[in-house]
Amino acid sequence: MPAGYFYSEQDVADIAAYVHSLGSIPPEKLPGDPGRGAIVYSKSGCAGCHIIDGKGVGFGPELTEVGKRRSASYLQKTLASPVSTLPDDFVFVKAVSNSGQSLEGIRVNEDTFSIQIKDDFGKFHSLRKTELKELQKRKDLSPMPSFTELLTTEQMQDLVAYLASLRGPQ
Amino acid sequence: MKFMLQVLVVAAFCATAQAQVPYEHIANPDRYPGEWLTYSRDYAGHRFSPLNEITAGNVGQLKVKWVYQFPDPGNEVSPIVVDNIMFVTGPNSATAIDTATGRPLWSWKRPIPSDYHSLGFGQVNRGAAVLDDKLYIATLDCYLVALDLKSGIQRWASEVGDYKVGYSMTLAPLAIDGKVVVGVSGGEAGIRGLVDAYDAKTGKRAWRFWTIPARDDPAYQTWAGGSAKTGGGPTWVTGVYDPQLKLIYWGVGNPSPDWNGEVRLGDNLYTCSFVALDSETGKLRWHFQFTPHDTHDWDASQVPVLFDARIKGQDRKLIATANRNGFYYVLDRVTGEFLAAQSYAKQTWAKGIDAKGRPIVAENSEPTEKGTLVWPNANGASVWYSPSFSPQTNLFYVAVRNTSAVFYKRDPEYKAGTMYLGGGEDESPQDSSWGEIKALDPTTGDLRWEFKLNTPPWSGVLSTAGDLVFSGSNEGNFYALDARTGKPLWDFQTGGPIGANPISFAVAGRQRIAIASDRVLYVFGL
Repeated sequence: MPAGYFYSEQDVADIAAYVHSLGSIPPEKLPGDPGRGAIVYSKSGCAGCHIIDGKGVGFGPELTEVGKRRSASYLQKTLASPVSTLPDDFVFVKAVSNSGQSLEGIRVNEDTFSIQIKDDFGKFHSLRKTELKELQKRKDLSPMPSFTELLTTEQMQDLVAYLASLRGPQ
Repeated sequence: MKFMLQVLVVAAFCATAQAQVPYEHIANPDRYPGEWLTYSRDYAGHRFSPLNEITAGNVGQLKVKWVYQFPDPGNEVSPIVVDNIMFVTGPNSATAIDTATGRPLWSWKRPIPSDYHSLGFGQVNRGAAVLDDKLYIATLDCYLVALDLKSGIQRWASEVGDYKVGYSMTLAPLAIDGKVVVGVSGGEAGIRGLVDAYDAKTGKRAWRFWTIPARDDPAYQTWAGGSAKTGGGPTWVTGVYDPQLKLIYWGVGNPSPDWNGEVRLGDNLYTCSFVALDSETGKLRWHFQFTPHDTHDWDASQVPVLFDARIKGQDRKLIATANRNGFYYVLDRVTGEFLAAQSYAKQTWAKGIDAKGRPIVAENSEPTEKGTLVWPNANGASVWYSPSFSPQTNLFYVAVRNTSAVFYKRDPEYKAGTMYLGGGEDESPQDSSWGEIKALDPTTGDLRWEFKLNTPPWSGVLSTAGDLVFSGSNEGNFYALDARTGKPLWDFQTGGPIGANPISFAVAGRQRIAIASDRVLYVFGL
């Protein structure tokens, strides 16, 4: 796609509005029960990495509106194989400082001289690259486990139904 | 208070009374090391400052002295500095700034017509030219405008091309002895490209060189089926000048339509070439085409770099460029003779360059209906931003873009004043691309050192007599490297993407470094 230098401000606004309308997934009829799914979510430790309605730790994606953005099949696929749906700009980082301290987390920003990482407590770290003796960047690794072996089929359906029901602040 | 006012008035009078820039000053810039009188500081395109106060030993102490906030985002200006006044430009605008404080002294703005559209580029301006008592600005609606240097009042405006059919200008003009030279944008709109010279005093056109040949020019035969009439060949980056040879060297951009070469079979002269033009008449002295029959939008729109060196026992006057197609070239600037070339970035479209300087094109590198993956992408291994040459280290510095794209071919339809592309490209993901600052042997292109950047850059390079190289990154880093080793010595986060060329000048004898970063112009000093 060529760059759209030639669009007017109105053109850009119209295109943005159209694209935005594409991002809203209509409610689907699903086999699982959202109420039971909320319990599965709670018992499986999901809130240790995700935030819903301000509750949880912000390591993974915010899920308050995930049902508007992601279809049930996408959610099912992610729960079964988190690596398969990683965004293009996702990078899991392991950094080791010159003094030997190790840090793992998700890259939230990077430039030529520094990198900013969010750890599994949701805490941000800013590191100077000259102060690191090792910087591994993995695009094929997700901190989220596959739930295929951890949940029953019914629990998985309930969890998908719960996530699909999240369409904004309650 | 009265005394202070008198001092200010006298100071202002002195500043304005001295605000005259004869051609001899621009032609001999080393006599005025604290000023920056033309786009690349010198006519040779070196973007090298002889100021040496800031060195590897103290660059770590650089501080922001002042900032100036532009009214528009995405600024690409390379400022001019004359007698303690800095001149910056934006789209159809110019401002004079006090170099001691950053306070504006005057501003000028020309309305952008409501039916104007930028076809293939952003609404930017890369700088002004200065000569005698005037400042020269090239506008988006394709006028060359002369302003009074002291007041910003318009003295004349000459139409260079019709913006309604796709002509536009974003470049800094080049002021030489009595003339102001400009080129045009419009390679994505099927214009007929040109280089124009105007009388600096009156604005009357002195000569015009068409980059798309007329029927009586043998080069017309390089366009099959009369395709030259929508051939493109824009000239959108400032050229350079050899005052002894009285030759202007200018880069010519892509043929139109960009990505479908089937409708314009042939070499498509003088696109993707350097042209050497007689500065008095505009007549073509020689040309050299880097990418014959280009189908990837690889304009030869880089600032050429002039230097003299001994090659194979012979003293030569040389012209060099790190071309958008991924190869570094060295030519004789008297004759245009090809002397050397080698790849300086990742490229997959050519197996090499033959003895005459013509690329040996690899198979499966043409755009197709299904798409063809090629390195570099359409923006190329280097683009409009400036390289630098240090006569002190004898190295050629260039910001390198390593990135690929899938190129597509489509049926083109020409309609005046609209995009005429014949295809498009899908750029590769950010994480598979990277940038570098490279230092090359200027006579061969051999690599001397490289410094890796997080992403392919959009900022030019400045080298200084303090043996430093300055440049910027897309992520807002403005930084200094050791000019002899490439070792990083200092960096500063400007907070916005940098897509501009740095300069250096002096305030009361103290060296300053300036760079535009998105909406802000930063000025650093010790």
